[in-house]
Amino acid sequence: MKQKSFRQSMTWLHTWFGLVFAWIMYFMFVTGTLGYFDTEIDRWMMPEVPVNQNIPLDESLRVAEKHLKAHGSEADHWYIGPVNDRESSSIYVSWEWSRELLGTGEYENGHGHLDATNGEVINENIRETGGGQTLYKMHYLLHYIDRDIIYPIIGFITFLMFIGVVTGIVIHRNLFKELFTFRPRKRARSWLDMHNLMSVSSLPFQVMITYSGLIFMVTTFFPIIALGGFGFDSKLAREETPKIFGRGEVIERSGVAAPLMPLEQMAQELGEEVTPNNIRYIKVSMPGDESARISVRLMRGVGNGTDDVLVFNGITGNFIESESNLTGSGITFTSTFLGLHEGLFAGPILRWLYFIAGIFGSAMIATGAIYWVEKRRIKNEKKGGSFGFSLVENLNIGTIVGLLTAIGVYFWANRLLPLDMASRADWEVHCMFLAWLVCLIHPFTRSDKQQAWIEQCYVAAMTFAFLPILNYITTDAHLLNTLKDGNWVLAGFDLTSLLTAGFFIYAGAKLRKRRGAENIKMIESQQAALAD
Amino acid sequence: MYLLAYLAIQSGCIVLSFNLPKHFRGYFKSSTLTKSKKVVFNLSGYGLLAIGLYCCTCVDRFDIALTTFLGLLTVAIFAWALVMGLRKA
Repeated sequence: MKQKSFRQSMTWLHTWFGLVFAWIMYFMFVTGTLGYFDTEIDRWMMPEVPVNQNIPLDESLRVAEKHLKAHGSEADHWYIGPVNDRESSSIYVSWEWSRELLGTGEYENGHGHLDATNGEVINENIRETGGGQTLYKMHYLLHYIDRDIIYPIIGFITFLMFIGVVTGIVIHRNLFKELFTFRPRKRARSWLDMHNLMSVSSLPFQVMITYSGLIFMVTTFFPIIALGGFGFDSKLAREETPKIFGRGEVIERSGVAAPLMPLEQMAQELGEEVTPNNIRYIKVSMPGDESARISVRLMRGVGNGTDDVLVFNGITGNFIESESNLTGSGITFTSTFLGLHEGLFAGPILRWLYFIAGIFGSAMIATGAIYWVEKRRIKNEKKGGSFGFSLVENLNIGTIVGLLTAIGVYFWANRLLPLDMASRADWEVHCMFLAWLVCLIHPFTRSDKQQAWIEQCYVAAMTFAFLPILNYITTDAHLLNTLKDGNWVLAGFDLTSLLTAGFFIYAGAKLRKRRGAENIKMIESQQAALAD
Repeated sequence: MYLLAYLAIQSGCIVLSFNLPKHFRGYFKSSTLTKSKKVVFNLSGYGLLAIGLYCCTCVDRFDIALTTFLGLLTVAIFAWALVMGLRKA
C-alpha cells in the first residue's frame, strides 16, 4: 500500500475534521464575532436605557459615590465603571461585603446601573433581555447545556480549529504565490480561492483567536496545580492567590473610622491624560476606614494584565504606587493572548477591524464547507446522489444563512415579545433557536438546492431589512433619531442590519441569475439532443 | 492617521502583488518581470507597509498599533484580491 505524504495526511485531517465540525465552528465564530459589539448590541436591545454622552469623570464618580454610600457604606469593596464613549449610557456600580457579614445572611453583594444625570437605578425600568452578552456567551457556552459538560467539548473543538488553521497552512502549497488570487465564476475553484483568501488575509487573527481560545480552556484541561496544593485550606488559598496572579496587596480593615475623600476629586488627581475611556474600573477598598485605598485600573495595552493600576490613599488622595499584574513571563504571555482574544482594549476602528476579521473567519469556515460540496457535485450527480452529500449540502444552507436569519429573529423577538412576559430573555433565545430549526429543516424539503439557497438568502434579507423599520415602529431609538443625535452606537446597529440585508439581496439575486443561466443552458442542450 | 496608514498599506499590497509573475503579467502585458523590477517592487512594497505601521504607531502604543496594522493589512489584501479577480472576470 502506498504511503501517504505528510501533506496528503494533513489534507485529509483539514478536510474531514474541518467538515465534521464546520457548523459548530461556524456558530462559535459568528456568535464570537458579534461579541466584539456585545455592549453595542446590549444598548440596542435595551432602548429604555437613557443615552448620556460626554459625562465627565468627576460627575460619574460623584453620582456613583452617593449611591454606594447609601447602599453599601460598610462594604469592603466598591467598584465603579464610569460613563465612557462605548458604554455611553450608565454608570456601573457594585459593592462587596466582608465574608463575615455575608455569612450572617443579612447582607448580599449588590450591583446596578445608574443614570448619570440623576443617579437613579435604571435596572428596574429596562426590558428583560439576553442582549449582546447572551449572544457573546454562546460562542463558548453554546446554550441549553451545562457548563461542566460544554467546556471540555468547546475546548476540544477549539483544539480542532487550531489544528485546522495549522494544517491549512501546511497544505496550502502556494501560500504567498497565490496571496492575492481570486478567480470568480469558476465554481469549485472560486470557492477554494475565496476560502484561501479569507483565511490567508486574516491569518494572524485566525492563529491568534484559535490559540488564545485554547489558553482560555487551559484550566478545563489542566487544573491549576499551584491552587490544588492548598487543598481545603481556603484561608491560605485566599492569601496566596493574589501573590500568584499579582492582584496586589490585600487591604485589611483597621477598625479606625476615617472619612473617605470625595471621589470626584480623583478626576483631578488622575489628570487630563486619564479619560473615562482609559479606565477599566475604579475600586475603593475599605471605604470609611483609615486603611481605605482607591485603585484605578487603566487600560493601556492589549493584554488584560498589562493594565497599570494606580493606587491612592483613600483618605488623603495621595498617590501611593503603580502596580502591575505582571508577576512573571507566564502571566504576561497568558494575559496578552487573552487580551488579544477579547479585544476589550480596542477603540472603534480596531473594534471594526476585529469584527471584519471575525467575519472572515466565519466566511473561511462557510466557504470551506461549500467548497467540499462543489468539488464533489459532478461526481455525486454521476453516482445518482448520496445521503452524506445531501446532508452536508442541506446543513450548509440551513446553517450558513439560517443561523444569521435566526440571529435576526433574536433581535425581532426583543422588540415583539410582550415586555411583561415571564422569562422574556429566555424566550428571545428560544425564538432564535426555533427559527434556526426551521431554517435547518427548510432545505430538506427542497429538491432544488439552488432554490433553497435563494429562498434562505431572501428570508435573511427581509429579516434584517425590516429590523430598522420594526425598531422605528416600536421605539424612539430609531435610525432617524439616532442619526440626528449622532448616537453612532445605535445608528451603527441599524445601518449594519441594512448592510447585511443588502448583502443577502445581492447574494440571492446573483444565485437567481446563475440558476436562470443554468436553466437556459439545460434547455438548450435538451433541445439540441432532441434535434439530433 | 488611520486613513493614511490604510492608504500606505493598500499601496504596499498593490506593489507587492506585482512582484508575483501572474499578477505582473495581468497589469504589464508588454514587459517581463526582471530581477531589478522585483527588487524595486519588494523595496517599495515593504517600505509602504512599514510606513503604514509607522502611521499606526503615531496614534497608539506599539502593541495596539501592531494589532491595528494587521487588521488593516487583512482588509487591504482582501480588497486588492477582490479588485484584481473581478477586473479579470
